Amino acid sequence: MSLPSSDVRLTIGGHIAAAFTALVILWAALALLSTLLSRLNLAPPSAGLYIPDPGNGVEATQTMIRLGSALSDGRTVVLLGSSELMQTRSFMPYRYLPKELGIPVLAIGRGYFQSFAIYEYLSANDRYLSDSTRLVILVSPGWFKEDSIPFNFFLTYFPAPVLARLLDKDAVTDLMRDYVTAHWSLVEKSSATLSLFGPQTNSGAPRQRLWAWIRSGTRRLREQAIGLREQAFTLRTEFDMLLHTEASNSHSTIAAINTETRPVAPDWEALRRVAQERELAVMTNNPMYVRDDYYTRYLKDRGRTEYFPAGMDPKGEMQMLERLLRYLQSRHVHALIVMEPLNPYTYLDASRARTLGNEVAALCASTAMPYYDMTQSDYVPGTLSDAMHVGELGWVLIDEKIDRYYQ
Amino acid sequence: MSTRRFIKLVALYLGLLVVLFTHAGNPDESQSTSKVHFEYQQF
Repeated sequence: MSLPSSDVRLTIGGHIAAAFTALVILWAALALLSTLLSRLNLAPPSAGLYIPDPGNGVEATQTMIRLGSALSDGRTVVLLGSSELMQTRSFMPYRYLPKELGIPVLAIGRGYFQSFAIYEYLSANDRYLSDSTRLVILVSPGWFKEDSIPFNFFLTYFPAPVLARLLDKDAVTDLMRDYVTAHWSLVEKSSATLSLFGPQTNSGAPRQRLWAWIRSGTRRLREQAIGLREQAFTLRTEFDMLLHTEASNSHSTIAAINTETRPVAPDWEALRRVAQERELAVMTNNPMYVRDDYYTRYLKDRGRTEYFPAGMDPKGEMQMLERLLRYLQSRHVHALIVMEPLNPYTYLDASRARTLGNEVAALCASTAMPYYDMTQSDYVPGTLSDAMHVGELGWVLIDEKIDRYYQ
Repeated sequence: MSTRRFIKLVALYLGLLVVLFTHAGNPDESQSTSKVHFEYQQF
């Protein structure tokens, strides 16, 4: 296109109108492409994939693309939980289900990835949620010990590309802003995106109010710019993932999918037996039914103790969980909620997990979420592999529930 | 301003924006850091 300088010699108003028109065209094109890509589902997750945390930069963008894709494809089970997902057990859903039953699984989370983070992640992928979403949330009694997620873990789960997706969602943005503002004194260095969630200067004298108004305006503009750029970068990354699947993929598959026809219905009873034997075989040096190395490292000199701190108030986490479940209900998602137990051979107050389990049961009942409460039955050794993390037997029990629920 | 000129100008700005978006890299790769580091308790 030849564009001689005489052509460009236009009025300032003409330039502004042209730039604005170009911006609108680009915005519309991005929205259209984004919708098309989400429908084409160009980046389905690999068969069995575990992402402990999103990473940063392109890795974080890829994580969000994978999550959105898995939530919308109607096949993949999205498994969200915390530290139990970090173990290496053969019956873990993201290993066992793809390999043996041909069910793709995307698991995300490690310590402190709980109601708050899960709610924000799902809200960031709001448009991918529907009644065909297959979602499993693993709730641990440990979630209720702390008031909120420690700030360094928050920064791990919310790098700029994740935060950028939350800028235009008023309800979750306010929740995020409250958290970041409350923890702002802990910030050593802030990314441009995080600072958009930081404290805002409020009015005082008229002159200060004017400055506050100007700052609020520029803040809005920065929010728009960051949101738009992340949207554009997401599109580019989706194309990269489509064209160079392996080279551009920062996440590696853990279990390959079984492409053959689904095997005959698993003999769950036999699998439970195998899993328990496997777990008990490495619990030989202690009476607490925990793995030997764990006992030597954490329990040998300690004995049975209390798990929950005195004066613990689970209300904050319970309210956040309720908010999450009500949100899922509003999006017509029927998520399977699993409440994990504590090891009563290790903790004196393990039965308190049952009380928490009852409260979670009430929340699930009021939001019509299917619920599997592992705290209600008598504890069977091997269910956990240590004091609090699910062991081989526990994973088989969870696999069975997932398989039956989503069959 | 003629329509033809206006369209050319829109195309110019559109080109600039596309270049800006496709070559800008990741919007914000800067890492935020915390003054305190809490460790996950295994027990």
